[in-house]
Amino acid sequence: MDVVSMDKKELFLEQFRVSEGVHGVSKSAELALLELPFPNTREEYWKYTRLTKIQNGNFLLDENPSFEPILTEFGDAFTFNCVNGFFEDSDVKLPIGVQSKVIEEIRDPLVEYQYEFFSALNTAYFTSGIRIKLEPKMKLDKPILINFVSTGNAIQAQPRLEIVLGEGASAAVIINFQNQNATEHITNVVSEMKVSKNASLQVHQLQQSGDDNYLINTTEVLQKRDSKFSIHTMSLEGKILRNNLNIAVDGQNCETRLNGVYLVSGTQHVDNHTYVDHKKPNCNSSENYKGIIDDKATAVFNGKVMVQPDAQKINAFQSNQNILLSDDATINSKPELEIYADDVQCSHGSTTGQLDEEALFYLRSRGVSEKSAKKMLIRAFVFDVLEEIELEVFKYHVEGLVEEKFGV
Amino acid sequence: MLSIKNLKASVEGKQILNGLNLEIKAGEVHAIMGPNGSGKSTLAAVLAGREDFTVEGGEVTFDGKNILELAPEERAAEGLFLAFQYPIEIPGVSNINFLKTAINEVREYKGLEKMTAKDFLKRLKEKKELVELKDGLANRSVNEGFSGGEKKRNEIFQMAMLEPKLAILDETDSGLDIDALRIVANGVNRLKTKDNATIVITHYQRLLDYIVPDFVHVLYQGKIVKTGGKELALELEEKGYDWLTKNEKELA
Repeated sequence: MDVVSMDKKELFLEQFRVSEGVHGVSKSAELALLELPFPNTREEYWKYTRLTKIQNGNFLLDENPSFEPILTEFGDAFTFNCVNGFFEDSDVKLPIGVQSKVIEEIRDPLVEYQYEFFSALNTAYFTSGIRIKLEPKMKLDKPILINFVSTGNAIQAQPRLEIVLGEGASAAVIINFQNQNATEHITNVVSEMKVSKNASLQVHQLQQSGDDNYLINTTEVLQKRDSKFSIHTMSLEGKILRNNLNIAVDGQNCETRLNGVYLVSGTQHVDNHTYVDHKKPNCNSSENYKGIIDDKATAVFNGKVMVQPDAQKINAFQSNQNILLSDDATINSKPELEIYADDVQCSHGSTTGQLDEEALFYLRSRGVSEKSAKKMLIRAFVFDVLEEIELEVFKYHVEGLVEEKFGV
Repeated sequence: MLSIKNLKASVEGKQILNGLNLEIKAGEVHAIMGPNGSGKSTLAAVLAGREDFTVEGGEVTFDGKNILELAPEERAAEGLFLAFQYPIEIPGVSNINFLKTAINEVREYKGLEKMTAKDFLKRLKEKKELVELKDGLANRSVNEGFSGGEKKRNEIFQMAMLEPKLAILDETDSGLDIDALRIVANGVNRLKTKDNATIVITHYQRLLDYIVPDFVHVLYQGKIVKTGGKELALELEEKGYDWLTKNEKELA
């Protein structure tokens, strides 16, 4: 095809295509991509997030990244490193009952790639992936740590992660997005998590991919009966940072918890789209996202809770609160409930304000400097979200980062 | 210690203080009384540095320093303390961490080393006893879920921890029952030394039974219209403000 005749979407896709062709699920995703338009602000799903910079980017594949030792603050963990979209051959010693395997071919994906461009892009042309599986009743005494590292200029990374918990298994996972001097880098990751009957999965995401880089992070979760799932998403760095979190609660007596903190400044843009689909009765879900937005940064929160017909006795709670630290900061917040059952308890709310001037004066009148007083109030604002993180090593690290971000 | 000369201040374009004069020396207790809207709380707010108030004229020196040019935290570091009429709740900020930060930042301002954890805990224990603050309260978030009385007691506790040179108690007696009043007053009296001073702003004479003033001032339409000894408070209790303000009204 002549370059001139290609439209922008084609030019964009061309950078990701693989010469040897794709098969199976990846082939259907490739076909879906032909039909799906490049996401634009005319679509509700992308209304507040403009992707022109990504569409016009020139991204390269870095097939032989160098795996430098990666330092993290998370202590002892079963660690998997993925640099520029490629997982390092793992030498981690996993206990019996836990397996990790390279994903050669995608089977039974949870993600509905037919409807979403970036999920289809990853499903068609993922760079590499691993599947971590816990046998029934397996309980890990250390967290699983996945380091997604970006390095170099204008690289595209499309890793894929699958976590499968057998019946009654339990695990804590840290997904750490880290930047090593990367610029104009895009990571488009899809993670799928299957939580079987009676299993319990805690996921912690720390997003520090660098303020020159793009991250599209899609997480698909399937919960079976009597299971527990919690996810804490901490968004700190990124030029454009988009989280798509979709949780299907397909069993009775499930607990689902979604917490998020986003701290953005400069010209950062962070967008959290969450979707909890209650398909079966007698479940609880609770969502609490808090954001602090400074300078000319923008944040988007769109949280939807769906209660399907016959999914009675659902308790669903949803809250999004924001503090704008500057006149040029923007938040677009849209909590949504869609309920088709009649015996449910659901509530949602959204607030946006500034730091409480009265509180600021009170603290200062006792001798606390304006800077420290602001820091205290910011910390206090996100306190309840951080308090719910059970994995202490993650909690302490994030608490420190919150102070650093606005402690200048 | 504190010298206020011809102080004029306004809020939202409305002038509240109209040339107020006041001199306070170390070791003294001054009561400021007056009817609603006379400018009592405005005076407290202007001295503490609340930004909604604009100083239109006059000067305030504190130990020789012009404090009107200082930020609220600098005034606090110089030794000024305001006990709020309505102490606010700050969920998520722990009383103790906040006080530790306040004390250490004041020390830093004065060029002193940080207080050791041991000294801080010692002071904490002492002062908690002084104001009979229930054990749990110091560890909680600032004023969160406190009763009206507990909030006022927490103000006096903070004052005790910070050891100011000049404390301004803005209607500290409002909303207190007689037992709480006694505890608060007792705390204030025990903190009194020959080197510090207190301004008690109040509506009622009642508090002055417990905190005995050396001087009583009547504030009316933003000015001090009469000054006397502690017996003036009793006279005001008996006769109200009308006999004092009549003259001013006629002049106006």
